[in-house]
Amino acid sequence: MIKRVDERFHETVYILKLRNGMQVHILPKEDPYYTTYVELSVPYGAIDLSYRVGNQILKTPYGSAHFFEHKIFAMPDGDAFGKFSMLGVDANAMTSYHQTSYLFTATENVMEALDHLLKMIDTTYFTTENVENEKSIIAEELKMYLDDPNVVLQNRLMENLYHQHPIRYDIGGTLESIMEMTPEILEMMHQTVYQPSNRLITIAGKVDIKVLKAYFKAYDQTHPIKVHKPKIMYPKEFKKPLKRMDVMNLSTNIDKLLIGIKLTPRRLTPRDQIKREMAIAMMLNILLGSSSQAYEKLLEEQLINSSFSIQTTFENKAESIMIYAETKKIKRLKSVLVRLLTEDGYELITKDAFDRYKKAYLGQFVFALNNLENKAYLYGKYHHMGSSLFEVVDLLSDMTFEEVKNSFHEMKKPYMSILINQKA
Amino acid sequence: MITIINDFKTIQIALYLSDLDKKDTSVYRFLLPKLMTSHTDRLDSRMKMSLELENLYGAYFKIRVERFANLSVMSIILTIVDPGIVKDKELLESALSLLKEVLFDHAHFSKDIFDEEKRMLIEQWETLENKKRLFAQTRFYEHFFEGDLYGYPLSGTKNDLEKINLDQMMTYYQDVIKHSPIKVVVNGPIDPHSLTTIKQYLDIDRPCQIPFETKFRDPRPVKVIEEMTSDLQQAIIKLGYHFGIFRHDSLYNAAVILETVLGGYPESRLFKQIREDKGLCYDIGSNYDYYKGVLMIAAGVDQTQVQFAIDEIQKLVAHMIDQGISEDELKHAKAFYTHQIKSSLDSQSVLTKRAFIRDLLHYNESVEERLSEIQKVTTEDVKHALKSLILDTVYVLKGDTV
Repeated sequence: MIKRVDERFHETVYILKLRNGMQVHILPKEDPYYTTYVELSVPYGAIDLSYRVGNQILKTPYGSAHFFEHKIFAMPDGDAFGKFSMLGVDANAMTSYHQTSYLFTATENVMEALDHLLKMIDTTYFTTENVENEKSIIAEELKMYLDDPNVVLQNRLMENLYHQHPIRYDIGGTLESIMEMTPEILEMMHQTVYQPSNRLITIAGKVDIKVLKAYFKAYDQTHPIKVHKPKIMYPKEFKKPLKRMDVMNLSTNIDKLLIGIKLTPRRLTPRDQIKREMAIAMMLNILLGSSSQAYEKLLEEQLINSSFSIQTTFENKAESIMIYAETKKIKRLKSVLVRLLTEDGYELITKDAFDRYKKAYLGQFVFALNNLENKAYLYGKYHHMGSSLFEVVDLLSDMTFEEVKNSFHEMKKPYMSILINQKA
Repeated sequence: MITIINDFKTIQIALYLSDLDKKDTSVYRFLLPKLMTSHTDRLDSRMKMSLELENLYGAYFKIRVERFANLSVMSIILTIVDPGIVKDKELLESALSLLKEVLFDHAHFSKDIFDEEKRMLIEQWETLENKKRLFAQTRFYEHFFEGDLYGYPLSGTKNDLEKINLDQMMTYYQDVIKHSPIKVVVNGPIDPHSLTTIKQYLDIDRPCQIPFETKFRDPRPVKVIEEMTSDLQQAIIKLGYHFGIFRHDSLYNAAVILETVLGGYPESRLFKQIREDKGLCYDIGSNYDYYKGVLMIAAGVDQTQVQFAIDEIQKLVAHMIDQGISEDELKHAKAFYTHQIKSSLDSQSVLTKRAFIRDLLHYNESVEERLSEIQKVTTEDVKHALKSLILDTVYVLKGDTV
C-alpha cells in the first residue's frame, strides 16, 4: 500500500494496486465523521461506442453506457437497490460522456455494502424481459429531458457542431437507439469494459484501512484474471461545424441564443491537457464572468438575463464551448457576442484579472475538497485523465498569463455554430 | 450568535432574518437579499462586488427565502476558505467587513440594479411555462394550497413585481434592518481569536418573538385539475394528500417512516411497483411537508398512460392504508432514514441551517434522542399514521398533442 500526504490541504491518500489491475484509492477523514463514500468508476462513458478487442471491432448503439448503468443493478435475486436499502446505505449511479460511476454513502454496514457493490458489478443478469422493461423506463427519462426546450436546443447545437463524433447525441442516447439494445450487447460490454483492470475504487470519509486492505487482498485472490483494456475508437471529426447557422421555433416565451465554438483537440500530456482546460475556462471567465466589463454591459443594455451561462466540454476528440442566453434583443446580442469572442475580447484579458482568478480558482479547489462526494468524484476524474487531484493546484500555480491570453485564439469564427430559437 | 467549531476547510457565516410570512411582503423579501448582496455604498456595482469576492479567494454568497409554516426566513450566507489553508491572515476580517457592509451599508439601492433585478424576475415569470416541471409545481401548489400562503409564490406574483418601486423597497429594507429578528450562525475551523473578531463585527442577534404555528385547512372533496401545455412529451402528475401530522406530533416519526416506505427512496413502493414493475415512469417519489401536515406524490408518465398511472398510484396508496407496511419495510426504512440523518451531520451547510432551525423553533432533542425515537416506531404506529392520509388534490399537466 502506498501512502501519500498533501500537507497543504491536510489530505492523505492510500493507494492499493491489485494484481488483477484494479486500483483502490482511500482518502480518510478523521473522527468525528460519520459518512463513508464509495465510488467504483470505469473510464467508459456515453461517447465510447466502438472499441477494439484483439482483432475485433465492437460497436454499440448510442446510449449504451447509460443503459448498462441502469441494467447492471438487475441481479438474479432481485434489484441490487433492495439490498443496498436493506443495509441502510444510499446508492446511486451516473454516466457522463467519459466515465460511468457506481456509488454509495454509508454510515453503517460499509463493508457489506462494498461487497454487494462488487458482486453487483461482477454479476450480470440481462434477460430479454428486463431489457425490454428498461427500454420503457429510459424512454420516459429521455422524454423528461426532451420536455425542457433548453435540452432540445443544446442537443441540436451539438448535432450542428459535430459531423460524426458520438457527442452529437445525448448521454442517454435517442428514443430510437435505445430500442436496439439487447442482452447480448450488454453482456459483451461487461466482458470487455467492466473487468477489474478497468476499475478504480475511490473511498473517502470514515474508513478502517486495515479492514479495507484485507478485503481487497482477498478479492484479488478470488478475481485474479487481468484483462487487457480495450482500445476505444472515435470517428474522424472535421474541424469546422456541420452547420454554422440554424433557427428553431420551439414554443418558448422568449428568444434564445446558443453559440457553439468547436475547439481543435491536441495531443498533449495529461498535465498539459488539464492546464489547457483550465486556461480556456479562465479566459472565458475573464471575458464574460460576473466581474467582467462585458457582462456588466450586457446586463445594462438588457441583452441578457439571469439565465446567461457559459459551458466548456473537453472530451476525447471533442472539445467545445457553449454560450447560452435568453434575450429580447437577439440580433444585437448575437453581433456583440460574436465580435467579443473573435475580435474585441483579446484586449480585455488583463493581467489583473488573471491574478484575481488564480486566487479564486485556488478557493474553488478548497471548496471542492470540503464536500466528500465532490472530492471523490474529482479524484476519480483526474486519475482517469492520468493525473491526480492534488497535482491540479500545482498546475494552477504554474499557469502563466500568456497561456490564458493566447487561448483566446482558439476561438475562431469558422469554427462557430449559432442556433437561434425564435419564440412562437 | 451560534458557533459551530469543526475542521471543515471553509468557514460559513450565516445571517437569518425572520418575519411573519405575509402576501404583501413576499416580493420585497424575495428581492431584498439579491439587492443587498449585489452592491453596497462602497461597492456600487455588481462588477465591483464580484471583484471583491474573487479577491477573497472566490468567496461566495448564497441567498435564499424560505417558508417554515407561518414564518418567512431570508438567509444570506457567506462562505470563505479556511484562512489557514491559503495562509492569508486578513481574509477573515475582510470577509466580516464585507458581510457587515452587505447588511448595513445601503444609504440607497442603485436604481439600475433594482430595475435589472425586476426585469430578470419578470422574465422568469414570462418563461415559467417553458420550464414544465417548475410550471406544474407552481400550478399544483396554487390549487393544493388554495387559500393558504403556501400557494402564494415566494417571489410574489408578476403583478407584485411590476408594481413595486425603489422607494418602497428602501423603506422595507430600513424596517428590516431596524426591527427584524436576526440570528448569526458561524460554522467552521474557528480559533478563539477569530471568534472574538467575529463577535466584534457581528454581535447583532435579535430574538424572534413570533409564535410558530403549524396548520392547514380541513380536508375537502377531491379537487381534480387537468391542464394542457404545448410541446410536452410526458405528462406530469401531482397528487396532494391531507395528512394532519406535524413536526411536534407524537406520530411524526411514524409519518417520516411512512413517507420513506411510500416514495422516499429506491426501495419504496412507488419506485418499485410503479417504475420498476410497471415501467410507467422514470421519476416518481413522495415528499412530506411536516410544517403543513401534507404529503405529496409526483411523477412524469407517458401521455397515453396518465389515467392508468393515477389509478395505479391510488390503488397502491389505498392498499397501504388498508394493509399497513411489513416488518421488513419498517426495518429498511429505519436504516435508510437513520443513515440520512447521520450523514447529514457531515455536511457543513446542513449543520448551519439545522443550528438555526433548532434555535428558531426551540428544538432541544439531540441527534441520539432523535435516532432513538425513530427506532421506536412500530408497524402499528405507521398504520395509525396511514389512517390520516386523505387524497385532496390531483393535478395533471398534459401536452396538447397526445
